[in-house]
Amino acid sequence: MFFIFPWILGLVLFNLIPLFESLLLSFTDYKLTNPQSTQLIGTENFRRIFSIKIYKNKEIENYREEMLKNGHVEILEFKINGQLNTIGVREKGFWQSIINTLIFILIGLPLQLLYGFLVAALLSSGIRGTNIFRLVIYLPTLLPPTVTGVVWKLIFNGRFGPLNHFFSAIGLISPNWLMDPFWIRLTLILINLWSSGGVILIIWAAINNIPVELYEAAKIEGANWWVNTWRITLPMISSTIFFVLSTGIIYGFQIFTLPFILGGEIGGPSSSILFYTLNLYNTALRYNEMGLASAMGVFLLFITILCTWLVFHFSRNHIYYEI
Amino acid sequence: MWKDQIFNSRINIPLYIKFLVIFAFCVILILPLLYLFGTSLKTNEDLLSIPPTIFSRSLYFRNYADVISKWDYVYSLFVTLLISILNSCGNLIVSLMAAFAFTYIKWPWREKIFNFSLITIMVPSVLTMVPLLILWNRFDLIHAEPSIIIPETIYGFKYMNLLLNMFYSTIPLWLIGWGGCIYDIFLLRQFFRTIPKEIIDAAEIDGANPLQIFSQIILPLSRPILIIIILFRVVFVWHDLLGPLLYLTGDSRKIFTLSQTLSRMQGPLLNVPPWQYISAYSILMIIPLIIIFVLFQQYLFKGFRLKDFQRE
Repeated sequence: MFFIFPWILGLVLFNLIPLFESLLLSFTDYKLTNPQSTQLIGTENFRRIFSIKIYKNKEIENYREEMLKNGHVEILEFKINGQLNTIGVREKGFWQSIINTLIFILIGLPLQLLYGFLVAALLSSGIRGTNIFRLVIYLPTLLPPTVTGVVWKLIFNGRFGPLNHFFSAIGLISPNWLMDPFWIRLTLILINLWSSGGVILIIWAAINNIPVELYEAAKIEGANWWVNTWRITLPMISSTIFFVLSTGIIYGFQIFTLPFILGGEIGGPSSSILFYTLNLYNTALRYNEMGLASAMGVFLLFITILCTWLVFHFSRNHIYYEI
Repeated sequence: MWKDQIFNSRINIPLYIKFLVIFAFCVILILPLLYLFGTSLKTNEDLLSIPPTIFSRSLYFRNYADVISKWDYVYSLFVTLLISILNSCGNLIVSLMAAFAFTYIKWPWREKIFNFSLITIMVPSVLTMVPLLILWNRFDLIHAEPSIIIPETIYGFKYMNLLLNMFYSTIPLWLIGWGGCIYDIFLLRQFFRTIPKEIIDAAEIDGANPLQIFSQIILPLSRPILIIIILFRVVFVWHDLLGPLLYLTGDSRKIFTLSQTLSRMQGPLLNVPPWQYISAYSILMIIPLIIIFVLFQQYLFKGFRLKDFQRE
């Protein structure tokens, strides 16, 4: 009993109590600089981040008071016949951050799986010297995200970076990678691919574990490489793919350092790299709104559990477990 | 060579072409790091040269000396090492104890508690960030002033104050490690299950008490897993930027970790960031990681094959 005690203490103290406390905080307006003036404000935080306050013709002057109250709002203007008719005021960056994170996960994760599978298939097809290749492939994963950000900030530099010089020498387009909203998202996905050595190694290990007899039996029956891949390899590593997918989703919702380095604190050109955790960090520390940040965190937890449950549910009938 | 037949039963891509493709792919993978190394050896004028080159004409190694002296590299290295050692030791001890309790001791609700705590992996770290910030703030650890002062003449050790303050200010970063990590407990538990029970029974017959069983049978057998756990913790601490940004504000003694200093170097937006120093610092930052990686890579790669955890 004594053995388990330190861990339980740590779990309760550092995980469970902060979890419940942040649930509680999301219903208040706690500010770190003035903890005493906290009031329980119910679901006001949640309403703030999810809704848009609309001011119509007569009430347009009122929105200036809103702006003075919290400085981090976003103004949407709707013009009819060229006249400022309606103004919508919503929490700055929330929906944008959700969109950014979703783009990254929905495009980056399948690409990472595909890329990982291709490289792992290539590595396990009987070439020699796989130890060195394994080292080289895992090396970018080992780098801290800060260093990765520095490296790619240097390379993707619009004027002095070698990539643009190389591309223009070949004749491809060479956009200003880090200054353009579309291209910077592409760079983030590419950097994620570059440093996905762990995924490659996990898939490679899974491919190595497939028993050879299956392939020999298939060869007797005259199967080509497409049948081999689709009917043998993929089902046998389906549990690994499922694992990579679920951990990738959990990781993708929590990514912080790389967009912070690449896009700065404000989240890139026109908030295109403003990821969810970056927005949370800004809200908590720069705008000093801990209650709002806790509300965002609660929503993130809910989304993570939802997505993981979805992945579980939709792949229950497709995974083959060895046991 | 039997795998040769797996991926091309009909299409016969020769082996050397596949080798060349993988080789070219690995070279492209390494190229950014080479560029980083080359940038760290340039002077200010070389940085702006058009066309950009990987290595400049003269290798300017003096950047490294400048970085070490101007940007307190050794200091930050020491801080990071301190945090990672404290964190991983605590995590190891607590996780080992908990995994032992989960596998070898039967107690009520054992499985339920284990499954429930596996869910806590999904909790994003930013969610617990705000209350933990409040908690540490309540203990006055965030804007820590040097409150422990040992008269320097008594001990004769000039840096004792510094060490103690480092220890004190970085408490939020490593104390969490002493709570154990459910992922490590999971790994350890999986491994403990592969140890045959006959060994433990034989030891019990020979009259060993539980502590002896633990220290002389289980611990030596699980050495690969322990190394993996320590490795992952150290790498995590080395990479972490969110933690230091929150808890090390640098008020009193400018205590920063390596990643934090790197992020601060790119900070001033008015001037152009000194890229040669930043890349030199990055190289210096990743060298310890590469050394550790090369030394322990066999354990790391064994870790990816969960089925192969047999005793040697």
